[in-house]
Amino acid sequence: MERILSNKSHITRNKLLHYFKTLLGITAVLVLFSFAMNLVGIWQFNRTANDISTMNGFFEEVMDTGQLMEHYVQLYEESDYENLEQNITDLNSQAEYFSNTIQVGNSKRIFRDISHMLSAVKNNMKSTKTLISEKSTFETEVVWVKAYESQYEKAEEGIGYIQSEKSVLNVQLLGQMSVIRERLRLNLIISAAVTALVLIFSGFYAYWNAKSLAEEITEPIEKLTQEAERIQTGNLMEMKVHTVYPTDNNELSQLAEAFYLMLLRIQNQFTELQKMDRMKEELQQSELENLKVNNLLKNMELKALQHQINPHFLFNTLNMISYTAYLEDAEKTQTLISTVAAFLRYSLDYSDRTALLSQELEALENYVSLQEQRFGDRIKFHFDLDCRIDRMKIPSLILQPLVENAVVHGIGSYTENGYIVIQTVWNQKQKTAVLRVSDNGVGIENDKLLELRNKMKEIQEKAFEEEATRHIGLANVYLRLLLFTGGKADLQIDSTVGKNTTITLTIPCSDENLAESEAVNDNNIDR
Amino acid sequence: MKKGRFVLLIALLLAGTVFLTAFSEATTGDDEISDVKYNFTYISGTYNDDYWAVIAKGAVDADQTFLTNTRCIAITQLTSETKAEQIRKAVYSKSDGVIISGNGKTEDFYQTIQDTISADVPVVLVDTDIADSGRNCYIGTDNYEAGKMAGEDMIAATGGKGIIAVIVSSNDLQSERGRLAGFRAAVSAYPQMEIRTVLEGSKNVQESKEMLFDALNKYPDITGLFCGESVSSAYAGEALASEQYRNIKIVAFDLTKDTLQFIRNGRYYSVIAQDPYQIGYEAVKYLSEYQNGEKNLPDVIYTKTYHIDQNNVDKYPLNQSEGVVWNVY
Repeated sequence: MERILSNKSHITRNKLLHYFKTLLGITAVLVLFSFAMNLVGIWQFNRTANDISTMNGFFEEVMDTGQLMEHYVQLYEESDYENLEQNITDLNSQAEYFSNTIQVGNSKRIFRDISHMLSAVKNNMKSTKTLISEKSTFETEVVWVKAYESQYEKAEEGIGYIQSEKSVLNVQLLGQMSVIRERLRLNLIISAAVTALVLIFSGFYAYWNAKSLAEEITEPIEKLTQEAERIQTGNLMEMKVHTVYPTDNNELSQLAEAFYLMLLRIQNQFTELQKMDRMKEELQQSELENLKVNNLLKNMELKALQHQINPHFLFNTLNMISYTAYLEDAEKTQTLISTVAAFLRYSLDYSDRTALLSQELEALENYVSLQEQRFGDRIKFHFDLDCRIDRMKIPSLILQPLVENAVVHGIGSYTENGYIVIQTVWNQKQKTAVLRVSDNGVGIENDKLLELRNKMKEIQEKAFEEEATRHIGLANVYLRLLLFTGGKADLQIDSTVGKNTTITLTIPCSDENLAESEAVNDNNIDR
Repeated sequence: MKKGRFVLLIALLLAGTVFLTAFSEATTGDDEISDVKYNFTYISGTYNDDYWAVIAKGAVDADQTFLTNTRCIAITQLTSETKAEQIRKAVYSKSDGVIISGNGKTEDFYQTIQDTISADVPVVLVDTDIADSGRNCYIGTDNYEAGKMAGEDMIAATGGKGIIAVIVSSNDLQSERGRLAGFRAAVSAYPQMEIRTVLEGSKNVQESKEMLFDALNKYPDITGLFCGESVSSAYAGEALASEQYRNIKIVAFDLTKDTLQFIRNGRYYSVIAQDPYQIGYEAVKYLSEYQNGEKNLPDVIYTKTYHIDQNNVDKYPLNQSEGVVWNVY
């Protein structure tokens, strides 16, 4: 594109410049020639006018000479004759000069004749002078006068002839002047005509140029505008490149080219975008499908579990039994079954969720009451609760397994005096909640305790690497707590063989945590 | 680019042509002969009459051949005196020869011619001869023969019978008298032809016309008219164009624009044409030869006359008289 631009640029401008140069050249030539023509004419006119005045001077001198002659024949003064002779000589050289310089009609011949006549006049006056000086040789004065006067008259006649040439020469010079004037007029007309012609021509030339130039400029612009409109209103992708393309290589064609280049780029980009869009869509589609598959799998897993035993079915059945027991006035059975149902409900609803500590404890109480029914006086349960942390948020079913462990492993073999304490304490100073389950059962042997503690440690270390589901019992509880608290929970096992076992859960619990948990609880209240 | 240069070139050429034309016209003068051998003077009565102008043209053209210069002088107040004055002036300015019509009756004119000859300046009389003036040469039409030619034309036009009127120049001139004599000689062979009246034409057209119509009224049976001079020859074709005079056959003299027109439209039966160009040419030739010292030169040179009618009118174009520089006094 850059290359094209550098090659083609300024073509329109050059055209315009060239047109103006041509017009200027023609006008300049015209003006110059018209000026020269008129200059020559004026020069000739002036020269002729000058000739007339010079000639008039000449003829005045001829007249003066005539008067001198008359003066001389009246007074016979020698000085007059000398002046006369000088005058004629002078006139003769002037005539000689004129015959060469003035060239009008047959002026050369006329001056030749004048020259001869001047010579004749001179001769006649010479004869006159001679006769005048020879007065004594004449018998009478009358004869003398007659004699020289006949010569003088000839000279006078000659002067008359010369004078008569004045009008002829003037006529010719004036004729010449009028010819020149006519020619000047003609020049004017011709130059006017030529100028008009050239003006008309250049007018047409200008019109033609301007028109073609305007067409060259406006036509592609109009088409480009139309194209732009079409782009605005129509389908960009359907636009064909180079539907408008100026044939001449000028700025406009560059514009058009740039326009189409732009169009082409936009189209390419558009296509690219469309392609990308499609790809993205496809990707999303596949992702969605993946997700669906996953969901399906999970659902299927769940369904499979549910199919094994539908807990809700069980729960509903229990409720139905509980109601039957009530109808049959089996009050105790009814209570049992209700308790089981409540516990089952809690374990079903919150199995995978967090619960409030109070909810957990409530469920635990249900469990405990079931165990009390089962074991009667063999085991006594004691709750020592710190109600400030009732609304604390904890993973569900973490206390029940501890109590169950205590029942099964600690006191299971006792026939009497089994004692299990469930304690919750809020350590306000350390911002921790302490959940403790103690029993006075058989305790854990040292090897086993060490093993357990190692296991707990291992779990604590690898909590975020392994799946909680792989563990059961104590490990499961601890793992879930660790995951819930981000690794900040602690599980402590204390046991004395044959005496007691205490499992202590320490969970971080700040004031905000309590408040926060309150809000969460409200949302989950009816689960 | 090329188009622009082409346009510029055209403009230059155009302007240059105009400029050069103007310039060359400006320097036009007389066709000067650089080395003039002799200077002659042609004294004419008038310069706008075809006949006299063509004589001048012949003389000026001869100048080119014989390397001479002929000054053509026209006199507005044409009398024997003014003519004589111009002759004297020519002598005074040492002219090498004078060409003039012998159309002058006065003693002074005779005397001037004789004075001129005695001043060793040759005189050639053209158109009209004064045989006893001592002129060196007469060059012009054989008027008797021309008159005879006209008479024969009249016989042909009228079929050898009819009443004829003749107009001759007012001057009692040898040339016109010769024409009349020739005409008479031709017609006299036909007894049925009668020259009823001989009119002396005036130089004034109006006077001449009145005289003609008076005669035609006086002699209504006139069937032929011979215009033996130029004035009536120029107007008769138009004056007698009406139906009333349609039967009058006209034979005229001298080939001019007017006579040519009347030949073409059939009003004139014929025109007897002189050869003024040849007269002028021969005059300069004679004077040149005279000054060259040639002996045995003729004292009369007759130039040709032509019979022109509708059949051959296109063969005789009018003599042109352009390019003659006139000095009018």
